[in-house]
Parts: sequence; structure tokens; C-alpha cells
Amino acid sequence: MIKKRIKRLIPFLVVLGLTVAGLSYASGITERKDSRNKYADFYAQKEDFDVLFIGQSRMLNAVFPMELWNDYGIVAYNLAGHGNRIPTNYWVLKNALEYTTPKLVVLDCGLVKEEEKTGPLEQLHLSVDHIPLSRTKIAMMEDLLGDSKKKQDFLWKFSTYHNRWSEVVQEDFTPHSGVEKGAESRVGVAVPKIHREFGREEKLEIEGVGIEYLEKIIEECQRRNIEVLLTYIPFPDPTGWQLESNAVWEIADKYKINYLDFHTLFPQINLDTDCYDPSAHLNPSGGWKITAYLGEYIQKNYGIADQRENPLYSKWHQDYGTYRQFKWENLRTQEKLENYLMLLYDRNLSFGVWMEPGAQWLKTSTIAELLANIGIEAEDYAWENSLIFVDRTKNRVYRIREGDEQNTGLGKIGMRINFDTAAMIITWEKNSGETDEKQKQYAEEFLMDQQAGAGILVFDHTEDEPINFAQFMVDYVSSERIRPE
Amino acid sequence: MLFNSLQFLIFFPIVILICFILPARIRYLWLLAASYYFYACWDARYLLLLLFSTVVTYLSGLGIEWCRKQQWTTEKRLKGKRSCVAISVLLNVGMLCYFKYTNFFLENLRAVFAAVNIQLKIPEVSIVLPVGISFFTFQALSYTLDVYREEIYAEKNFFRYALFVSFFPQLVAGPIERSKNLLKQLKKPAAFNFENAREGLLLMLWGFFLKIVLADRIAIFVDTVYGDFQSYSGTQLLVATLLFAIQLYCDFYGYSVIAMGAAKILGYHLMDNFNAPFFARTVSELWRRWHISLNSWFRDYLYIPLGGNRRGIIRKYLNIMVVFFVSGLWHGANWTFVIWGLLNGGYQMIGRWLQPARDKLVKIMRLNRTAYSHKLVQTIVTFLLFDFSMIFFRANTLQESGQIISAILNHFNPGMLFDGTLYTCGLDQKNFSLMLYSIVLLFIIDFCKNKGIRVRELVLKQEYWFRWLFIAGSILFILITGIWGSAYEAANFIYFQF
Repeated sequence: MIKKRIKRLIPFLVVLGLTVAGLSYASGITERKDSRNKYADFYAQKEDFDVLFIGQSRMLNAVFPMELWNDYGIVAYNLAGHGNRIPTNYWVLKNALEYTTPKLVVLDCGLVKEEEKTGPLEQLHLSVDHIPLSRTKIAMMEDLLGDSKKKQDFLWKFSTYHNRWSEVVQEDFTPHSGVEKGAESRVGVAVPKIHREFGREEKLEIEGVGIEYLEKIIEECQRRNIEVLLTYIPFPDPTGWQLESNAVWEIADKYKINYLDFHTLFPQINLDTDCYDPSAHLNPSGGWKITAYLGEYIQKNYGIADQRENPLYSKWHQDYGTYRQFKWENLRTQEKLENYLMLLYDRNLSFGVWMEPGAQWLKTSTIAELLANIGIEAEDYAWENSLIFVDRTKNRVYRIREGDEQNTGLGKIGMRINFDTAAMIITWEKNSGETDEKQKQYAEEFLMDQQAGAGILVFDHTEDEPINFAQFMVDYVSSERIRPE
Repeated sequence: MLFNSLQFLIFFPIVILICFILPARIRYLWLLAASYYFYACWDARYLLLLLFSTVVTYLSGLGIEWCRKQQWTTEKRLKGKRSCVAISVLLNVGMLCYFKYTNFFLENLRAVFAAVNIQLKIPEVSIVLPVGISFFTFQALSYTLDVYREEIYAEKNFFRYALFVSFFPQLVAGPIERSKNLLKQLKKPAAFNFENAREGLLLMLWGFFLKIVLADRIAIFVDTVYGDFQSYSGTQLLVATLLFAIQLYCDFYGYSVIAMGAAKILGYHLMDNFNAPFFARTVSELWRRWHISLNSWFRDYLYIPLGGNRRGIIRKYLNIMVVFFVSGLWHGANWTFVIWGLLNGGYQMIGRWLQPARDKLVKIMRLNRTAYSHKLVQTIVTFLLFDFSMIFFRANTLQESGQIISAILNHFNPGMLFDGTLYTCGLDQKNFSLMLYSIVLLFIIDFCKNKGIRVRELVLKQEYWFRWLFIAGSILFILITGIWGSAYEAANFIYFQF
């Protein structure tokens, strides 16, 4: 009888097993990959991270761990997420600490005044979906969403994403990891119309979940002997959000930890060039400035070791190479001159810029600011019909007139006119010291289109050849990339 | 709770497990508790209504039997029995009318007086329609009438009777069971049977496919178009109307099949509520295949008591119209439902009137009624007639129905069927295609059923590995492509509103 019952049970168990296996596979395929891609490298790394960055989208867009690695050898990950309130960040960190023990946690205190524990639930998925089902995750959702039925969407992702079956693409079968170690560069240039500045004496009196969880984060880290650095990333602020930043000083004083309130201490941020949108986020130019400052500050004040020679982190060099290619590809795909100029702020690039002589649009404040941002001052392009070459390897700016050549750190750069077409040509020749034959492999001419209002030749300091030549048609209102047929 | 909800997927296995652990003689008590819990998940207050209907009809049954046993004159005995029936009917129908038709009645009263320039100051009454009230009151009333007709003995065990009224698989949307079938089974509960469980599971899978893959997917299209019908062309409205009939069928049939499957697993057999209705060749035949439990209820407890077809042709037609008038009203408190009902009644009347003319035409043109082509035409015409009435069923007002009909007739552009326009009505191309393939599958299964082939029996006859893969694959297919989850809140079954 029992044998018969067991025999009867087998089909049920087999069907159940097949169904569960199938569901698991289908769940992995249909799930939106943003969260998984963002955090893939975090989970893949066996060795500890030295620094973790947590916060909301301002942190996400403003701190680039790969730059910290390249410049300072800091092994870091950006765990920030869109719309993350402080309670959400608490749980993101709690989960992360099950996988790594950093020396320093950098928490951005933006949105500390918010009373809700989470931002919009669509954004919460980015910070939660990657977390494996565990007691921590269940506790996280219980705490953040309480009795809400929406908890199910986060604990069983299939219920949220199964309807993506009709949108599945190749990438869903072979997900890849992001290259920015959790950060997210947002390319755009927006000039805020209004930005309100406050002195330190003006502040909001904040009580509630923001402060409560901020203290929980600090206490959790201190319990584990992890240092904490508080920040307030700057952003264009038309409505006075930054009053909350002044309230954080009390917490920093209470726990005797450092607090970098960027919006009061960091004049390097230029709201005319460094904003992705007019009211909330920085673009890569702004982010690189913040990152550079943070890198130096962290190294000086927290003694974080330079891991570039550590064989345990040798893969990071390879990752950086991939990241670098990602940045150049990003540059190559830009269609607007403003965005292109903004991205040239990257300190690993040198470039030559030619602007149409007498162009009125040059005098628009945005273009002028963007040029100044990359080291080209107004007097530089006052030299009409010149190529301005910014050589960051030697920290020099060259003005190359028509018919001239200059020996720069990237090779011999020149400019001349093609008298047949009356078009400008930028010439480049690598200083290889080779024979004439060999030399020809490293020489190139870049012919500018007659409609071009701007032409830019870009070099990566580690590459043998230019990485991009871009031309733009430009007027007062807009710019448009000229793509060769 | 809905069948297509996580709550039910947890509730049901627990009910099965405990049901078959308990001794057979008290199993019905557990099922009664589970059924009341099931109903309480909607709104616990309405348990009182369920209990009220149960108590009234239970007592009416006892009362009828008591009258029958008294040493009275035949006339007195009959009077006594009829009084019990009258009380049961009045109280149950009264309860139903109060919840379902009060606002409709007051609205029309206001309209009538407004037409003669009298402004009646009747306050708005907020009455929420309890889920399933139309079903369980009819089921309970059928018991009273069956006892009256001496088709069954009155049930002495109140709790067993209460389970008959509230049996959760069919409580809120049918099928409306007869006491002769279900009450009898409740007296002799079956032991757990693997074959029943397997068949029940297959039935439930088919029901979930109909509901959450097909009906709810079609609903996206139909709701998009009908929800803003003035923004859509005649072509889109036509397609939405055609699809609505299928949506209604799948939604309701899906529920019924899930109910049948759930009951089967528990060891009970419920009646099949649909029998491939879209393969009917006349409207009369369609109504014998559509919502069988309700239509047989009307036949047995309204049409036949009114005289049926035994009192002449005029009376027969009148009886048909009365039945369909009531049926329309049963479906909803709105004149659109009444028109829908009357239309279907009218179709049958006209069909019968024209029968001699049709017979003559067939003879003159030497048509072969047994040819497949002839049957196909009949089937299509029947579907189109039924589907036309669906415009009234779906539209919110008579005026809206008129506008939709006008748009279909005047703004139909066949090119829109092929130029991608149909993918702009809530369903992208892949979802639209899946919907079409699923409809084809539905028609294939129904075609087989019409020919006496039960596809699930074919599946169950296959090798074990095929059965396992088939079931696992079906579950996965339904879960992946079904319309459920946060992207779509679990859509209610349409017939819950009745």
C-alpha cells in the first residue's frame, strides 16, 4: 500500500520538479537585466572591496569607481540606486556587507528629509532585483514595504517580469556585467535656469526615517569597524532641496565622522557645463570632478591602499581597459557638439578643436563654458582659422594656424587647406622615429566637410592612433553630427 | 479570493490535504468552513446573506416536507407547500432584487417622472452588489422547487445543506448546481482518487489557460477600444466586438472549468456549463450549449411553469421572450442587458417563424443541409447574430450601443485588418498573435468536443513521460504568458458582477 502511494507520488514530484526548474529558467530569462548587470561585478569579486558608495541617483551619476582605480588604485563599487531613500540604502548596505567587508562606506545624504522609506517602486527594482532571496531580503521588504502586496513583486521577480516574454532579446539569454562598477554615466548638458544657494546657517529640522536610518547605517558600520564618510553631492537645485544638507552636520558631529558637503565646499562644479538635467543630476564632466576630489580625499584621510600592484586585483586592469573602450565608444556615438565637448573633460584624452571662423554661435555662453571647461579659453579661438590642440600629456595648449604643424605629445599635428575643395584638413603624424615607409602607417589626414562648423580630433594617451574624428554642423540653436556616408 | 490569485493557490492545496486526512463522515464540515472562508475573503459581511438564503431555503424544504406529511386535504397540503415556496422565493428574490435592482429601479423612476417634468427627490443609495448573489440564490431556490416537485427529499442535515449552497468551487460564478446532482454527492463523499486528481488538474489547467492567457488578453484589446470607442474606427470596433464574445466565453467557461476541476480533485462532479457553443447552427442550439446551468434553470423553473410550449405558439413565443427578458435582467441592472436578452429571444422567435420559409428555400435551391459548407455557413451566421447582441452586453448605455453599431457599419475599412492598426489597441504584435493562436487552439478543442473527442482523455492515455512534460509545460506556458502579476492586477472574472 505504501509502495503504491510512493509510486503515485513520483509523478507529482517529477512534474513539480520540472515546473520549478522551468520557472527558474524562465524567471532568469524574462527578468529585466538592469539590476543584475549593474551588480554582476560586485558579486563576482571574491576579494573585499575597500570602499563602497551608497546613495541615490546623484551618487550613481557622480562617482566612477573605475576612475578611482586608474588614478588611485582604490577598489570600490558604486551601490547607489535611482530614488533610493536612506532606509533603502541601509538595506542595500546590509545585503552588501554579507558579501564584502570594506574599510570605508561613503554615503550620500541626499533625500534624508524624505519621509517614505522607498522611492518609486519602479526604481526600487534596480536596487533590489539583484539581491538573492534570503532572510536579509525578506526582512528588507518587510521593513520597506510593510503589509503592501507589492512585496511579492520583489520577493518573486517572476510575477513582475513574466510578461516580458514578448520583449526577450539575445541579451536576455547572455547577460553581461556593466563596465562602470555600478556607476552610471548620463551624457547630457543642461543649463539650470534657477539654482538656489544657501549658507550653512539655514537648515531644515529633520526628524523621521531619514535621520533614523542614517544613524542606523553609521552604527552598523561602526559596529563592524568600518569607517563612514558622509557626502552631499551637488546638483542644480531650483527648489531648495539643499537645505537638508545643512542638517547633516549635526549627525556628523554626533558620530564624529567626516562630512563633505559639496555644494558649499566645491566651487569646481560649474552648473553651466556639469549638469545632466536642470534640477537633479551631474553629467560625466561633473562626476569626474567629484570623483577626483573624493579619490584624493579618501586616500589622504583614510589610508586606503593603492591596489594597482596587488596581484589579487590584477583583473581590474583588464576591467579598466574595457571601461576605457566603453567611454570612447560613448564619445563616438555623440550627435551633439555640447555633449561631445563635455566628454572631452576626460583627463585621459588630448584633442584638437577647429571652429568655423567668425561663427556667432561660438559666443553662446554654453559653448564658451564648455570650451573653457576643457581648457580652451575665449582668446584661444579668437585666433581665426586655427586648430586649438589641448595636449594633456604635456599640459599645454597649442594654436596651430593654417599651414602650420606642431610637435605635441601625441605626434605632429597640422592644419592646411585643400584648395580643390576649399575644405580644411587636420593632419597627424606619429613621432615614431621610424623610416619613411613605416611612418606612413602612422599618418592620416582628416578632411573636414564644407558644412562643418566644428571639427575635433581626439586621442587616447595610451593608443597609437586617434580614437575619433568628429565634425558638427552648428548654429545658434542646435548642433548636428556630420556622419560620412 | 479569485481562482487566479496566489491566495487561492495556497488555500486550495491546504483544503485538499485536510479534506482527505479527515474521516469521510465529517469531511463536509471542513469543506463548509473552507467555503465560508472563501466567501468571507470577498467581504465577511455578506456571509450573512449567504446564511440567510441557506436558512430560508433549508427551512422551506423542511416546511414543504412537513406539509406533505400532514393529514390534510390535498388542497390544504398544496396551499401549505406553495406557501413555503412563495416565502422562499419572495425572500430570496427580494434579497436579490434589493441588492441588484434598487438603484436601477430608482434611476428609472426618476427618469419617468423627469419625462413629465416632475423632479423626484430620491437620494442616491449606495448598495454594493455582493459577489455571486445571483448564483447562490438561484441554486438555493432550485432546491426549494425540487423539494416541492418531489424530485428530492428535504435535506435534514443543515450543515450538509449549507455546503450545497456554498460549495466554494462554484459559489460565486457557477455552474448553478442542482440538488439532485450535488447534494446527493455530498452525502457520499468519495475517497481520494488519483485519476480524479489528474483529470481535475488538467481541467484546472485548461480553465486557467482560458482565463488568464486568453480571456484576460482579449480583455486588454476590448477594454481599450470600448473604453474610448469614439477614438477608434469601425474596423477596430468590429474586431473588438467579435473578440468580446470569445472573451466572455473564455472568461466564464474558464471559471466553470476551474470549478469543475477543483471539485473533481475533491471527488465531486459538477455539470459542464458550456458545450462548444460557437459550433451551434442556430441561436436556439447556442443557448442550449451556452451557460447550460442557468439556461436549464430558467427552462425548468420559469419557462415550463409558464407553460413552455404546451399552450400554443403565441404563448410559447411569449414565454421565450419572458425568459430572455429575465435572463437579460439577471445579467445586469441595465437596459442594455435587457435588450441583449430580448434580442436573443427575438432571434429564436424569428428563427422559428422563418423555419417554413427556410425549408422551402432549401428545397427550391436544392441545398444539402448535411454538407459541411452549409453547416459552416449556419455556424458563422449564428455566431454573428449572437455577437451582434454582444454590443449591447458590453456597451454601457443604449446610446453607446447605437453609436458603436453606426461606427461599425459606416466606418469599416478592411485594409486596417492588415496594416498593423490592430496592434495599437493595447496589444503589441506578439501578444495579438498569441491571442489569435490561442483562439485557434480553443476552437480546435471545442471542435473535438463537438465530435465527442475529449482531448484531456487523449492526453491521459499517453505515456507517462509525455503526460509529465505536457503538464509541466502547460503550467509554465500559462505562468509565462498569462495576464497576471503587478503588470496586470489579477483581473476579476466577468460573471462575478452578476
